Amino acid sequence: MKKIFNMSFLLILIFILTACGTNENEPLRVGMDLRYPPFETVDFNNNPEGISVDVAMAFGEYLDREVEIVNTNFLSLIPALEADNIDIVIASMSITEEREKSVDFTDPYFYFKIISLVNKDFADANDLNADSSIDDILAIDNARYVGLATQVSATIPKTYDKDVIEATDLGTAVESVAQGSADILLMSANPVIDGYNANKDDTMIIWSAFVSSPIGMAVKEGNSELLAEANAFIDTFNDDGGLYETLSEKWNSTLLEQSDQLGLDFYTNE
Amino acid sequence: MNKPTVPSLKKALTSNTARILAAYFFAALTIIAFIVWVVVKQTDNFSFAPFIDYQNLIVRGVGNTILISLISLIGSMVLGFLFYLLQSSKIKYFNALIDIFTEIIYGTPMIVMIIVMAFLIGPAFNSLNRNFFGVLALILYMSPYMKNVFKSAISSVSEEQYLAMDLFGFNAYQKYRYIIIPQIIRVLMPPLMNNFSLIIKGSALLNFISYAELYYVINVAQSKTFAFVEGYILMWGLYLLLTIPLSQLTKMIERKWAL
Repeated sequence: MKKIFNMSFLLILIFILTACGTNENEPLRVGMDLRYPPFETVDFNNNPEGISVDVAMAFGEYLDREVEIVNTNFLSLIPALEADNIDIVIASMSITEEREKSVDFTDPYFYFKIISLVNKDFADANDLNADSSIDDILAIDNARYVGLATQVSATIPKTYDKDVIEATDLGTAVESVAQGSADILLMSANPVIDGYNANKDDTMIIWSAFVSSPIGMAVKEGNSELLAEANAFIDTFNDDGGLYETLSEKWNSTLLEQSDQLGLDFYTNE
Repeated sequence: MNKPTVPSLKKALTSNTARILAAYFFAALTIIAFIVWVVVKQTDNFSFAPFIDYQNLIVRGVGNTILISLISLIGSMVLGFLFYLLQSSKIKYFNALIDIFTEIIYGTPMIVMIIVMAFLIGPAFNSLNRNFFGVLALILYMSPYMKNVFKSAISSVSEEQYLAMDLFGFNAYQKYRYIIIPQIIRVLMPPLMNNFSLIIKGSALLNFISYAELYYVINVAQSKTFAFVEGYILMWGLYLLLTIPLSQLTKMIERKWAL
C-alpha cells in the first residue's frame, strides 16, 4: 500500500519535472524541415545549412537575437507554430489560402516555380516534351499525379480536378514517377531537377511553370509584432548589399551546378 | 515410429544438423537472391558510394537509435512494473486506470502516440522538448506490453510458493527480492528481448518529429544524394544488423535457461 503510494508519487513527480521550463530571453526559434536542399538541409555533421538557414540567421542579426533552427517535419510546421514550439517558419513555405486560415504570412520573398517531373514512357506515349505547355499536360485525362501531402505539389492538381496520390516523403514520390506507378510530380525546381538527375533514363522535366508560388515566412496567427519585423526585414532584401545579393554570391555556384538555368534570380523573380 | 537406439539417434542428429544448416543456407540464399533481383530491377548502377560522405551522420543515427531504444527499454520496464503493481493492487481505482490505459494503448498506432505526445501533451505541460516527449511516447506505449511480460512471468510462480512465503511471514520486499525475482528472470528474458526489438523498430517513427535516428538520417542523406533505392536498402540492412543479433541472443537465452 505504502509502496504503491510512493510509486504514484514518483510518477506525478516525473510529470511535474517535465512541466518545468522558462521562457525568458530565449532565442528566435525558426522552424524548417532540413530535408530540402539546397534551401533547408544539413552538412555532413548534421548542422543546419542552406539558403533558408542563411535567411534565418540574417533575420536574427537584423533583430539582434540569437537564432535556433528547430528541425521540424514539413507536415508539422504549422502545428508546431500553433503549439508555440517555434516562433516563425522560414521553410520555403508557399503562401496559400488554406494555410492563411491558421497562420499569418509575411510578404513573399521568394517565388518557387512549380514545374513537372514526368515519367518518360508516359511523356512519350502522350507526346510531351521539355517545352510542352501546362495545357498540354492538363489535357491528358487519365494522368496519375503524385504529390507531397499538405504541400502545393498535392493541392495544385486538385484545383484542376485531378486525382492525386499523396506521398509523405519526396523520395517515394520521385521513385513512383521513375518507376511509373505515377506519371507526374509537381514540385519546385530543386527537387524536380534532383529527381531527374537521379533517374535520367526514366524521367524528364517539363519546364513551363504551373504557378509561380509565392514563398513567405509564417508566424502564429495574431503575432503582429514579429510579423511587422519580418516584413520590414524582407523589405531590405533588394537593397544594395542586401540579402538577395549576399545569397546570390554564396549560393549561385551551388544552384548553377545543379542546373545551368537556375541562379538565385530564378527564385527571386516572380 | 520405432524409438531409435542411442547410436542411431546420434547419427540421425548429426545428419539432421547438417540438413538443417543446409536448409538455412539455401533459405538465406533465396532471400538474398530475391533482394538482389529487386535492386537490379530498380536501379541501373547500384552503389552505396554516395552515402560514404554521410557516414558521420549515419553513425550518429545508428547511435541515437541504440540510445533511445535503451532508454525506452529501461523506462518502459520501470513503468511496466509500476503498472503491474497498480493492476494487482487492491485499490480498484488503480486497477481500472491501468486497464483503461492498456486498452487505449492497444488500440493506438504508435505514430499517433508520438505525434500526440510531442505536439499536444508536451506543449500542454509547457515543455517544448519534442525529443523528450517522443521518447516518453515510446516508453508509455511499450509499458502495457512490459506489464504483460511481468504479469506472465510473475504468475509463473505458483500459488503454493506464495502460501509458503506468507507462512514464513515474508514482507513484500523479501518476497520479491528473494523468491519471486530470481525465479522469474528466466521466464522474463525472451519476451523482454522481443519487446526490445519492437522498440528498436518503433523508434524509426521518431523521424516524424525530426529526431536524428537511423531512419531520419538516411532520409536526410537521400534528400541530398537522391539515391533512394540504395538508401532504403542500407537502412534495412542497418536495422537488421541491430535486431537480428538481438533475436539470436534471445534464442540463446531461451535455450540456455529453458526450464
